[in-house]
Amino acid sequence: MTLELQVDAVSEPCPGYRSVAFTLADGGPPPAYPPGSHLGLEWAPGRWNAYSLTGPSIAPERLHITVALRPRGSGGSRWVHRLRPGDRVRSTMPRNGFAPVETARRHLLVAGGIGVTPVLSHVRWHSFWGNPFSVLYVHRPGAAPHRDELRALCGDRLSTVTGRRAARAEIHRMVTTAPFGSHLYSCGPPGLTAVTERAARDAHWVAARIHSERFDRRREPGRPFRAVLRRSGRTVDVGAGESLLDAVARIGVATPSLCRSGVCGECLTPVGHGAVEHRDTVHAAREGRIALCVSRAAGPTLELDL
Amino acid sequence: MPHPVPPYLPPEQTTLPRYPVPGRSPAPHLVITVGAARRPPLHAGDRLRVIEDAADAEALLDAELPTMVTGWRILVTGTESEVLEVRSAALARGALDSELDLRPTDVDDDLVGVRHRTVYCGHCQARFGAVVAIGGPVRCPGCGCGLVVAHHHSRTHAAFLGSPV
Repeated sequence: MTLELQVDAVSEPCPGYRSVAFTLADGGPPPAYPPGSHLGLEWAPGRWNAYSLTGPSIAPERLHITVALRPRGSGGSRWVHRLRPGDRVRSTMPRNGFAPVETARRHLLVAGGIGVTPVLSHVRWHSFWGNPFSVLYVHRPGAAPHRDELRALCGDRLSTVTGRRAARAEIHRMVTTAPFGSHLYSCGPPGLTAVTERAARDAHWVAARIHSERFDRRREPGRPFRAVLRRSGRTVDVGAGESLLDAVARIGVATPSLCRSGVCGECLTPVGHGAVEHRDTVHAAREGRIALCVSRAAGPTLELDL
Repeated sequence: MPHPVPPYLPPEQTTLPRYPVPGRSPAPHLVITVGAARRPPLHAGDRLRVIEDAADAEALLDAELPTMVTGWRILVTGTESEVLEVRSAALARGALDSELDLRPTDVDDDLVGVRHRTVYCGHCQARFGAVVAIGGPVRCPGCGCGLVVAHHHSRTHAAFLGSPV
């Protein structure tokens, strides 16, 4: 199901970032959504990108996103930065792969750069319900969108750092002093989420308490492999720099997809045989599935239920 | 007496408790022994707590968990009924399955064989102990109902379902 949105207002929270507020084109109230949700926006015919919602998620009056400009990206962020009030946009319903775990004794949130967007929506939720939480915001000097809003919501529960070493020290402190029953959420560049996950694992956290969402359009190349599509009876050779999703589309097999970053879960496909190198953040491995957009075969061939 | 679960369902696909033996995590453990169970080997940093009765687990966990940080594990040893009751109390207080290491002392490889089991009466909701196999008959001491022990174990009640017949 898609939504027809209309741009209501645009603003620049700091240089290189653009905030956009949408209303529904038909004037109705936007849907409520769990914190950590994103919208898929169609920025070119058939091309969709996922953007985290930053505004209040309970009875929202408008839907808010903030997008960093990626001058050398494939074009989605440049399109967002060109939006003007009155523009119409086709969107998915809000969807979520990064919701808070309601039973957590404490929520530890780590945001890196534009990864602050879903964290901001978590913070609104926790402030509203009075849940224990704390936030670490890692950003480059002078580029900290939403920092003032976070400060107003968090008070001294927010710490901000700018250097990599300071970030590591603060993350270490967080994961080694969290009361039993805490959950950890990180969103940001892959380097930061990897550091956060590793720090938690080193402190013996179990995987079920560690949650992360990476926003990264660059796909690491891998070894070429052959994909066998069991249902359609087709075979496709996936190149080193090509994604499985693109390869499957190249031979004309239709699959749903949305974020192309392994965060939305739209392209998850059951795996028949073959080892998988999982690169998604929606735990496809736990369900015996693969995120076609980012993950690859770990061996020479991979059989898919497709 | 009718069989409550069709025999074509293998026990592995039911909620009957199983106790995989994971390698012991290097994390510090809260080690809880119940009753007469032998204390397992302790590692540096572990905390040993002995309780006489599994019902004491709630008070023990209420005292211990607030002093622990995330990363700690909980190892429990005792009879199956005791260990599962401690698990229920730990889960209710936010522990996750992957943080629990259960070491029952009276369990063999036979998931469905005759042994002491805690049964929950599906009619009057009484919990009671009985020596019985899965699929075997028991009479509820609470309401007198004839029950068949189902292929279902409740993590919350820490008991096998006794299904009225």
